[in-house]
Amino acid sequence: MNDDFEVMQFAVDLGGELLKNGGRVYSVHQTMEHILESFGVHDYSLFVLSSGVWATLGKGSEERGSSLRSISSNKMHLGRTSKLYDLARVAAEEADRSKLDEYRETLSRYANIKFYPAALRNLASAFGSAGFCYLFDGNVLDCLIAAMCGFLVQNLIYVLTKKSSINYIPTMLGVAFASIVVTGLTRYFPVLGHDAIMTATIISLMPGVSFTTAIRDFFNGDYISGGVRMTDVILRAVCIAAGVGVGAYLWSIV
Amino acid sequence: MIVLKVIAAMLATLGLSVLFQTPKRQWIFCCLTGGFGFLISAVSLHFGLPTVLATVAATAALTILARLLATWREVPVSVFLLTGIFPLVPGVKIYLTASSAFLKDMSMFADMGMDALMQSGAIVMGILLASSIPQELYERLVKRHKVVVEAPAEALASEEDEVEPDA
Repeated sequence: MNDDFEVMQFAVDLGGELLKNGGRVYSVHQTMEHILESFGVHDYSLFVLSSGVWATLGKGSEERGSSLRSISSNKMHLGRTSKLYDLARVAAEEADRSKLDEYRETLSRYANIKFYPAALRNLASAFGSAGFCYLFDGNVLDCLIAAMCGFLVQNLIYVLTKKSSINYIPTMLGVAFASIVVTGLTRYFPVLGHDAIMTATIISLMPGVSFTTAIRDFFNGDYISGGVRMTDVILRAVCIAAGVGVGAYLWSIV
Repeated sequence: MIVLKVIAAMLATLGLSVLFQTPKRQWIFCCLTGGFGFLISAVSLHFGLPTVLATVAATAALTILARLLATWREVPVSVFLLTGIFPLVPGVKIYLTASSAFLKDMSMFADMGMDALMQSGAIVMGILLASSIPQELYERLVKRHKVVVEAPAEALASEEDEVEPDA
């Protein structure tokens, strides 16, 4: 029984880390199920949401233990999820209970893979913004301005994220900063394309993927996760609207 | 012109691949996926397909490529799908919806909001279409059967990707 509980805790820890780093609810559920079944644990119940994982051993009055991991914040780290899925596959194929400590140690290492350096992320944001600006029919000058703004906004958000405990505040301030800079530039240099530069600058902050994932969750019948994601999308959209509004308002009174 | 746009889509996807922390060894494949999706969308629009249908076609093609690459490279499909799909996601429309709400332009808000919703729905349809193809077919296509991993967990832990640069 204790062994089963250890296996369940490992599966819950792994599921929690996957969710924290951008794993989809459906595939996290499948991965956890696969691990438990491979280790010969069949008498369990699993409940996975985008905000947490809950598992119990046994059912009803026969319940023999439960485990819960709450996910308060999640940041996309596809490098970690790749490694964690690898670990899940290896653990499920070996299904060796004597190696549980090893698996747990590996899990902890993978869960702590570092983020890329801030300088590289800022540079990537600049490249990304320039690319998107061209896709949105911007000219070469627009792309250069978008790259510069993308670099600055990413840098600002990186600094603000360290200071703020609320997820949405850095997004709102980053968009407000972009809006002030871009609206100001396009006001004095009308040759620049406002919408292309502005959208390209803040594209990485747009909840486009979350929006699509929320609809996917609804299609899969996972209404709770879809609803949670959709709420996140709405809050982000409100932050973006507020940020854009700040820039527009400030320039309207200057 | 279209070649330049495809290159721009690849560059944009590269930027997002770094921001989403994809492993370095997959960056080039993320770029290929993003460029490919945009190319299909642009060609479909060029031949007169409505935006929604062009998005369905592009997303389905992109998802098939992402699943093939995921099978070949042995990484989760989201590494290629989430990054590659970004050039097709209606980010501009979401931005315009949000900003028109602030500016109290309700007609623009409704138009853009509905467009964004339809395009997102089209992306979901494309993904679902491509996802309905069984995994075995992808494995056969990349001439690979489901991998039986014999390496112990610590061998995996020592792979180069684990030692990522410091934040």
